[in-house]
Amino acid sequence: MAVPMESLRDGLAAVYHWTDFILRQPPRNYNPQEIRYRTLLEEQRKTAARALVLLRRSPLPSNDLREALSVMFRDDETADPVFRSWVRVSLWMKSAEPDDLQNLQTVMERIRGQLEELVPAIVQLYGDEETRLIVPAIYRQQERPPEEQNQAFGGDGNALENGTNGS
Amino acid sequence: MPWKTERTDLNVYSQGDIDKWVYSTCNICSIGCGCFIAVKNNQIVGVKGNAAHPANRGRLDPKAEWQWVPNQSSDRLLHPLIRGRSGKLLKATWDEAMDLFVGKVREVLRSAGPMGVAIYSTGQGMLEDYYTIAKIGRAGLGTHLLDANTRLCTATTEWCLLQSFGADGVPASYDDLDLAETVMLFGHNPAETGTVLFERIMERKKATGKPYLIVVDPRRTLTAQAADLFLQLYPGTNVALLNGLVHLLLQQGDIDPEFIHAHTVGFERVRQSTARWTPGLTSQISGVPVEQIRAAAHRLGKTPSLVTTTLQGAYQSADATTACVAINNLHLLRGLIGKPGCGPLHMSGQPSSSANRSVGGVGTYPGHRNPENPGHVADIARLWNVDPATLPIGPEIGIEEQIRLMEEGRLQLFWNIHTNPMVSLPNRRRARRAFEKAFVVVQDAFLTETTEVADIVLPAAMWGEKEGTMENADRRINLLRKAVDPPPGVRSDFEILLDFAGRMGFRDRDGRPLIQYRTPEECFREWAMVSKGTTVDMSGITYEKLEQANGLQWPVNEEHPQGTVRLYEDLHFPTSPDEAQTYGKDAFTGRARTREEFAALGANGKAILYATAYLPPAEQPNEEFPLWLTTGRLVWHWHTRTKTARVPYLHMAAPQGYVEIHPSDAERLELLPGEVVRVVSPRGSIEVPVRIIETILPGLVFVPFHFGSWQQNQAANELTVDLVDPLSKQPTYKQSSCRIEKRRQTVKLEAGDTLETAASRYGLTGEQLARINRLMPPYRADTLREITVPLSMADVVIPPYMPYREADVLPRFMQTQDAVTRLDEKERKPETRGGPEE
Repeated sequence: MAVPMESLRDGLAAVYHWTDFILRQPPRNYNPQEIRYRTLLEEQRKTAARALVLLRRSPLPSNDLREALSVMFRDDETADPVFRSWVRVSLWMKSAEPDDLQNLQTVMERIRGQLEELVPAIVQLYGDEETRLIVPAIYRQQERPPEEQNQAFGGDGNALENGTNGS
Repeated sequence: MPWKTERTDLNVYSQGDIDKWVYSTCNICSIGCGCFIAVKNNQIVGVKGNAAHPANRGRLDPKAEWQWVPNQSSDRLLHPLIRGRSGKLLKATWDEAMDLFVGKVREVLRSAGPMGVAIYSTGQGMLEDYYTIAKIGRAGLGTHLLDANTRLCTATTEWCLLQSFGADGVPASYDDLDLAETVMLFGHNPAETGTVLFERIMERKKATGKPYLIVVDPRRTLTAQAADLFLQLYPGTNVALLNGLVHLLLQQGDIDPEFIHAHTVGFERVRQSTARWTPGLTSQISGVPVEQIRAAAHRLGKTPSLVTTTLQGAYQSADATTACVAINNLHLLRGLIGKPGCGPLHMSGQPSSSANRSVGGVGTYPGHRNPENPGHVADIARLWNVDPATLPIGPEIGIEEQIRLMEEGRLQLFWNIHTNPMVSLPNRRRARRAFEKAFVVVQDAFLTETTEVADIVLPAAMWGEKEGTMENADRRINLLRKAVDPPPGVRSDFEILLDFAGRMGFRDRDGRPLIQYRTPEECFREWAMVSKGTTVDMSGITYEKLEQANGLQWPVNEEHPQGTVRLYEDLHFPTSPDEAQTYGKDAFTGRARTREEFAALGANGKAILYATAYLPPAEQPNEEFPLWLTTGRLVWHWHTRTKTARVPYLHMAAPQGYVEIHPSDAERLELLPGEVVRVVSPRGSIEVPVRIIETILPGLVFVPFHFGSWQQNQAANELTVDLVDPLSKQPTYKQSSCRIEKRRQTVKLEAGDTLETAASRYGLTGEQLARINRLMPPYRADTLREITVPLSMADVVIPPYMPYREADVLPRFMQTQDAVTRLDEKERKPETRGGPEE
């Protein structure tokens, strides 16, 4: 249990740090995309902080942590496309500096990377099945197709070996 | 049958008697009109309306009357195609194409996992295709990436219903339009996008004066011209206007407190969010005069029955879901739902987009099962006899995110079924670049703008060549019998899906084929069983019964063997956590709620009222791009014209794209009617003729989105923003910014030229030439050496289709006394120039 707790704590701290980094900067143009993604990041920051507090408790409040992690992943899953559309519209309307947008984008990608790195620890803590309910699919790149789980694919093992054989 | 009057529209081209009439349903818009297909010598030779069908009583839309013509087109695809090393598409056998396809899917599943494969389908296919896509996609491939062009047209319908009522399914039906005292058409222009439905409304109105008609639109459309009260609002201000209306309802006390208490949660959220929306503020933001806002609120507050319809003006605008939720709020506050003549009737845009949602080809699991509810996932796993652990969990990922995944190289294989996204997606240049990074498989009857980026093209059967069912905009399941065989070498979507599943070797947990049905009817039987006991229960439907009853509205089960005209008559809403189709999303940010958050709403059978925050559109006109751009449909064409461009009659009615602009803007920009201009947005540009028309707001221009050829440069989606609604993820096609640039040249006058002779060489009048050269009378060509003329001119005369006015074709829109078309200018020549010789 120690390893996942430690990596969860480190990961959550990083998520908190980088989210806080973005939110400490003043809004660039107050357009709807910016208002929305910042609202989501505010919730993400708050939830990451809460999760860090929960991690310090003993026994671990498993349900509360599960809920906090669920919210945090969903915040990022929603904020990310909103942020990217904000970047696009800011460039179109020339309402923010391209370099500035690029820097923010780098930080957003870092947050996403941190969240992806949290997944193995969450799996250790909650198991595969529960993790699927906590972590949206887009962060679970290690997920395997049904055929590799011996499901929904025919027993024709050769089929996998065939590969591309079109003209 | 509520709609009493029949009129059988008929369009048959046959020498001698036809062989047979085959029972079917129109495959164009979402009204779901019953029809019969005329067959002679195994060819479709015409169509007639089904007079006994309750949706149309025999009537057909002009596109419907001609929808059989493309089947006979000489450019039908008859062979699979594979892109060769030369970069060209090469003829292949079905085995070659399908083996390549399956091999590539296996390769991608190995390298990128299930998220490497997407299926993107349509709202014009069969329910049986969609159900099979759901099964292949989720239980076979294990992918989350199931979406359709329904994302572009009616995703907001689904999401506003999920948010307010816990499940999909429009509460009201067409029958309620026949009973309502008041009908509000919000961003809905049925005179052009659903002519049969509009005719139904207008027939009653002409006979009885009812319903009182409120129309909300930034354009004074043909629908708006029939309104008792027309609210012409600024682009992107739907939520502002609705907040203002709800504010007045609350202020006037025109609400039903008992209903609100007994059947809703969240009233305080509505009160707070609308508190600041006084008529003054609402008018300032929306541009609708205060007296009109008050008149609308008075009517909406006092009417004993109300149906509100919505379509793309609501769905493709900023904050689309919020606007539609605000409409649901309004009905709930007044208790006008679940009873005759009452309820929101959020339309769909395509003939069977609703079916795709119902059976899980897009969105949630089949039968409105919640993909985040382990119990629902276990239920579908049991029905499909697969391990629930292999079924994807979580909400779907829409096309806008799929494009990003293609850009990043994560989504590597895109299976495109019967749709043309290279014309229909916003900001299409970006979309094309993304598609070019993936392996793209396209099923279509023709080579399209999308097959230009395809690696495999599979020739698919068309309407009349296959059997199945569709679901229309008011939950009616309709049957389409197969009238003729498809051309040799062509297969139905259903057959292709089954072939794919077979070649992939998908199995259930007992090692039997995952898909065991072989025909659409067998598939429907399985689906009917899967739907049993759900909110979208179709267990009481058979093909035979559908034909006998001319369609049935779900739920159809033992309790409702003849179907259900309207939902929620028992005022029970599926909003308990175990019932709900989703846990919904945060109404402001669009963030998916957890089960705990949903449970905390405490709805448990009650409808949910939401705060409706207004935010203006993200892209707005500015100095560089000073005009609003909106896009939309014409009565004469269907979507990307894959079919209607192949009908000479329809093509001639509207042969090209154009830009509509208000006379005041045209005058300021010194534009001539028919002058070809360049419309430029931050994303691209097109070149189209100008149509000067008073029905559009000053500062706003309109471009129809049908004309998407890569070569002709008239595609509206070269211009549009690829921003989406935060909840439904539907693109905001209705609000972009643009500017108009003139395309002119300077030419030398010839010796002896008068202004008139010079003008006539370029298709202009002398007055026009004088105007664009800023000449003052008396005009003397001998003082000039050069003149400026447009590079190109084109007539833009779009005939309206208005059967209820008993005049199918007028020479053009007669909506202004001014000379605004080239035809006007020519007609008025004698009058304007005067002179005894003329």
